[in-house]
Amino acid sequence: MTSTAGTSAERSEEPSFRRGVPLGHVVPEDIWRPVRITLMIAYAIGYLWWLRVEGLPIDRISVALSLAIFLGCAFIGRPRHVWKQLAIDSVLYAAMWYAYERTRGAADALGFPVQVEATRNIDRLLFLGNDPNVVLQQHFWNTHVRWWDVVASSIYYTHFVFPVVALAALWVVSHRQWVRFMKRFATVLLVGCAMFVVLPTAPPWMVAQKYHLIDPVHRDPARGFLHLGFKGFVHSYKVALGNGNTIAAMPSLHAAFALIVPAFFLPWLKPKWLKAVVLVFPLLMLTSLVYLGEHWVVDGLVGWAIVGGSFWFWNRMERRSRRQRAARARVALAGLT
Amino acid sequence: MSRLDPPRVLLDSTFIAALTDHDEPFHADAVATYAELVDRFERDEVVLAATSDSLATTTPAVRTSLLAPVQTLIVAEQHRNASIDVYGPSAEDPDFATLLVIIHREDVAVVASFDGRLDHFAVDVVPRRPSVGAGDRATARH
Repeated sequence: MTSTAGTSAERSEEPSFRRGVPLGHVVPEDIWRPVRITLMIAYAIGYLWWLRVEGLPIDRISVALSLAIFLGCAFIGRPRHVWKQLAIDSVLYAAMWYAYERTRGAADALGFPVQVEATRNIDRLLFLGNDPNVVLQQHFWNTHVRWWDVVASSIYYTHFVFPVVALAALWVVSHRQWVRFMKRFATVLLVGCAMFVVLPTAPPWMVAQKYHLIDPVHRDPARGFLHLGFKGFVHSYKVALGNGNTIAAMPSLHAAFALIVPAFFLPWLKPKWLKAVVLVFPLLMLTSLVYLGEHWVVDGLVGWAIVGGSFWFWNRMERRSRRQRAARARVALAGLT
Repeated sequence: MSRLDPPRVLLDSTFIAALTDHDEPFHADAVATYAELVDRFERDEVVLAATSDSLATTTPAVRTSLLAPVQTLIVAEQHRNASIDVYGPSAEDPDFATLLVIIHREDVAVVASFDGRLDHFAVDVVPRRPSVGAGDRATARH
């Protein structure tokens, strides 16, 4: 704090020094806190058990259920207004995913022409006439699963867990940061969906297998993950929301989600080497997606650009909001003096 | 609030009263301190907050103008129940005991206050009070 009253000698630039009785000595601890911590640890153990025995929950409903159980553990014993806020947040969160699923599912039926060659041509332009998917598979794909298949497949599957874990953690730790993250995340989904509608794009495996416009590309993103003994848990009523869209390659939300989480937490990571390390993850994701034949390189680059645009927009909006609120306060302050 | 957030500065009822009332003895100090806090809020260096109890004493016009940067910390039944168990010199004043519970449980980093009783506790306070005679101010206000 800088000097607060120029006329007052007793003021100082710093808050008064903590020298009294610690509040923990006079304020009773929240009795629910250890309960919450215990339940969250139990949940983590249960989740790992489920992952091993039943598989990784990857459909929206299973993920939502697992998230709801976690939030129940994390919020038990919290005040009513916190639960009310959580209920509102949850409804908005569910609505966001529902809208996403419906739009994504319907996107290929709206009549926009499917992009088959454009993305291939852009990739060829970027890689001097080569098809990155084909080149990677020619060099590394084997009928036997190798360690890089396991790495690529595992990274691919983090898409179903990584952003949800980040969201859940933020939900528990800081509602303010949860809101900040959700604004950026929802924007990426919104723009992604809009592009699925107006720019339906065939992925590389389809262009190879159906249109034969590039050399053969295998499609089996799960095999490395299955090789580890894991599987994807898909609840049967996923069918109720089964709006899969095979021509939704542009943009790559796998690549976008792999960037949005590290990018969000980047300001809190101080060492530069650590920032560099976490930013390797989106690179690995895009490489995996290309190797597995799921996406073109340009899909991933556009996904990243959308993330960048979302951060730019919301950073600007949040600065503007703070500036406006501060300005209102200053006007009122001027009236006081 | 967490370490992910900027430090939370809680404006207590004595500070808000001094800020909004010309006749309060510490009005000038409150205005100067608040101006500084607003600057820091704009730079995203602090989050400003006040309890729902404190804000209930202000008018909606004040809330949306002077206190526009201030977020509401809702005082829940849990906080009031816990305040019953607060012991020490603060136990005699339920509102002050509730304030201590809020400061402790809601991760308040700094309290903007003119309540000298906070000097008894390990709480960072602005504007800084003198190390000698703090009790006199508390006595004067309470």
